[in-house]
Amino acid sequence: MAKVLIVDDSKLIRNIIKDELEKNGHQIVGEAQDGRMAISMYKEKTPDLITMDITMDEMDGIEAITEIFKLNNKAKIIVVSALGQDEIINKAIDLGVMDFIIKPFEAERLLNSVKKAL
Amino acid sequence: MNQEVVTVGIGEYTVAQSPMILRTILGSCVAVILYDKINRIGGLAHVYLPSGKEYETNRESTITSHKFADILLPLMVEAILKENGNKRFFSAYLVGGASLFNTKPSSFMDIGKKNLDAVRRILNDMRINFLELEIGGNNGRKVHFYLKNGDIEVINLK
Repeated sequence: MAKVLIVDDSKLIRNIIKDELEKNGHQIVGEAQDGRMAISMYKEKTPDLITMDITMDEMDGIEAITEIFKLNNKAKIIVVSALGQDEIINKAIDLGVMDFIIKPFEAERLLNSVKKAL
Repeated sequence: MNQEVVTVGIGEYTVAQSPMILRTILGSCVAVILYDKINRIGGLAHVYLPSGKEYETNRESTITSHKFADILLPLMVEAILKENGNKRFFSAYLVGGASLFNTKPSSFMDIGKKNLDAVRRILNDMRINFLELEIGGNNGRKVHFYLKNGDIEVINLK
């Protein structure tokens, strides 16, 4: 079981991820709707894993990932995004994220990714 | 910010941009929601019947309405692309397709199931990935689609 922080500006997507992970025994320790909130929750909740959206209003996912890696360069982050741009995927991978899932995704894809990351 | 709410009628589709809200009410009909989060544009199609082509063959009539899945969905995709949406950023979601008349799921009268099958086939043909949110069952549903962030709210009607 892992402590997971979910970052996405869409409540729908947060709920989909939350339901699937909770059904499989993981604990959701926080939900953030932008990058700034994600950094603050990361410091407070120290999750084992983060699912991170990219396109968010206040601070985007790439900036949040960069800041989180400054706090802990071994942080485990899976990007879950609608983005299909190769450039952004490469940037996130270069930063050190564990996986990249394109929305909308099947539950199995998410669970496999979480399993591999842990 | 203009958070205008637009109601999408039976057999219609509407394309809109953030921060508008699209809403519709469903029974056996299926709502197909397409969202391009990068460009914050999307659409909601209210699919009334599965196939206009089938109807045309059976009734020997000319289709003028857009209420059929195979006519409505390509038109909605085209309209989103015309407004500078990008197909490779699409997320698609399905809601609805209830069986309101207590028919067995396999019954030829089960329009909800036929609508869902048609919509799945068409989205697959168009190579658009989709997720089924709340489908089937015996209740109607009210749907709100928020273009600001792609949120979809589904209220089951008892």
